Amino acid sequence: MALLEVEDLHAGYGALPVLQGVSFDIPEGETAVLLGLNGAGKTTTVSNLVGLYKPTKGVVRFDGEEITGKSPAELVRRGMAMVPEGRRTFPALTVLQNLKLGAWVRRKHDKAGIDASLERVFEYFPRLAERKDQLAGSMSGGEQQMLAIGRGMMADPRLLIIDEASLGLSPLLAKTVFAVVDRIKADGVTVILVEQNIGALRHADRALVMEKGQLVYQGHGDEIRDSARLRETYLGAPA
Amino acid sequence: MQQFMSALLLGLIGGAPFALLGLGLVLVYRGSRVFNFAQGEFGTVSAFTAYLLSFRLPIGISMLIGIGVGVLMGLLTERLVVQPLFNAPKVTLLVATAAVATGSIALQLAIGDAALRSYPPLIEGNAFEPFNVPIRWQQLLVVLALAGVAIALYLFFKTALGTAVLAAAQEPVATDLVGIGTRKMSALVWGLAGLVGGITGVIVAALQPFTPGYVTSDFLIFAFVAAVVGGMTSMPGAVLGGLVLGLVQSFSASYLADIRWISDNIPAVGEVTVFILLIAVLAFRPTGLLGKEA
Ligand SMILES: Nc1ncnc2c1ncn2[C@@H]1O[C@H](COP(=O)(O)OP(=O)(O)OP(=O)(O)O)[C@@H](O)[C@H]1O
Ligand SMILES: [Mg+2]
Repeated sequence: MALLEVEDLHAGYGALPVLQGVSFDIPEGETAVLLGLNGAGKTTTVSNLVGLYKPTKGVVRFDGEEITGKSPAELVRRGMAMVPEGRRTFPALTVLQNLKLGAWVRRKHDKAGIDASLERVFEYFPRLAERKDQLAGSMSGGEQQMLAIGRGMMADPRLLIIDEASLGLSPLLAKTVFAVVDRIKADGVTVILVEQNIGALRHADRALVMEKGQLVYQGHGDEIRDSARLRETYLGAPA
Repeated sequence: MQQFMSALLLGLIGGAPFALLGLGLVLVYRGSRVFNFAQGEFGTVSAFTAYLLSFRLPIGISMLIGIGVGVLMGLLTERLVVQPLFNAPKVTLLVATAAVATGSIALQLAIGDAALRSYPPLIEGNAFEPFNVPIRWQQLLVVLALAGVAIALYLFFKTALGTAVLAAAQEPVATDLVGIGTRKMSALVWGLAGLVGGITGVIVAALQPFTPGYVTSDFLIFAFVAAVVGGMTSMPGAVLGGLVLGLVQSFSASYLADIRWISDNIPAVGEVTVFILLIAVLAFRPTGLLGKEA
């Protein structure tokens, strides 16, 4: 059964409609990549999934239960975590404080679990362990991206959504981050990558392509890799 | 020596209310990034409540209820003013809190009048008389309240909840995403600000007879100076700033006023030196004495 089911999702900002009926499923344990040009509606889609905004129409189910319109706190408790666009680390708190806040909903009943998650995050990103007492705001963009992903993993999610993991990273650092994404998947977590970078396809089991608030392609991604026409139409990438 | 000790003691005591009110300002700034011009009125309203109740109830109980009303006023300000303006520029919120303050003062004038009021001190008489400087219990209580509030806030910001409050002010979207809830933290901050303001109000109101808007008119501007001199985000900074202000005031009043030309030409020399200090600090250390991000 699919871990996440999205049915006819409509959403927007005030009177401005952005999503016009988006439907897709993500099976448990898979990594999906959501592609599309600037302004296609990728961030709007995932923001509505995690409860930052309330959809105007449509149904979202997580693990078979309807979760449409629930608060982010309720959803993170159920196992949905998001690494937001722009990282949004807490700049005047230390790396360790940032990570611990990622486990906020578990802080009372799962102290041992939090320690284990922390260890795992430090294993993914040894750099964070070295810098654990540094203020997040004084770290490089790449380090902040690691921290944002680490903070997301501290919730011990079943579904991790990463909005623009590779944006602004050097090719080498992007490779490191995607390698961690592979490990997160291997650890049993379902992942949605929001990307403009077609390179992310290599790390995904399925691809979704958005254009103007609608899904225009769903599949295993091979077609995108193989078809210059698809790449050009949907992603503006050169043939 | 006598003049020096007297200026020192009176300066520390005189600076304590600025520091206490300044702590409330720093609390709101760290937790909401708002310059809260209503902080003084959280105090005056608490003091007036305690005053009205003191005719029927023991003064200690009246003060406690007064503080409770301060908390309520903090929470109401959050619900009715801060939340609706959550996404507005912070300057709008500054103006809105100033409106709360003027509204509160107008209301006090409408209900009562501008007459001086006073209520019985919690403890009568002098606490002690070091170097022949009599220190009243009421004055000592301000210092004790300052110490208590400063330690309590320091400990609060060491807790997970305190860290969450800081997070909410720094990055609201991520605060919601990790499940903390920005709005809950905002209510908490303003409730605490009401608590700190209420404690400040009921205690400084016992120092001298007071009128509507007392805490705002007598202490708020200097509390802002204290907080800004201290760095605006630093609790120890606000305490240090308040005490330094008190000392600057008392020493200049004591020593500069001895100079004939000054006493003839500058009536409130203590206040003038305070603002010279403010300008000097901002010129040489724009982030304040202990200022850093947070
Ligand atoms: N907070 C907002 N208020 C109003 N309109 C918004 C808001 N956020 C996004 N939009 C609009 O919604 C549309 C979709 O934006 P969205 O951020 O979802 O795109 P995206 O696919 O994530 O783009 P990018 O790759 O540039 O991040 C755009 O037209 C954008 O201008
Ligand atoms: Mg986006």
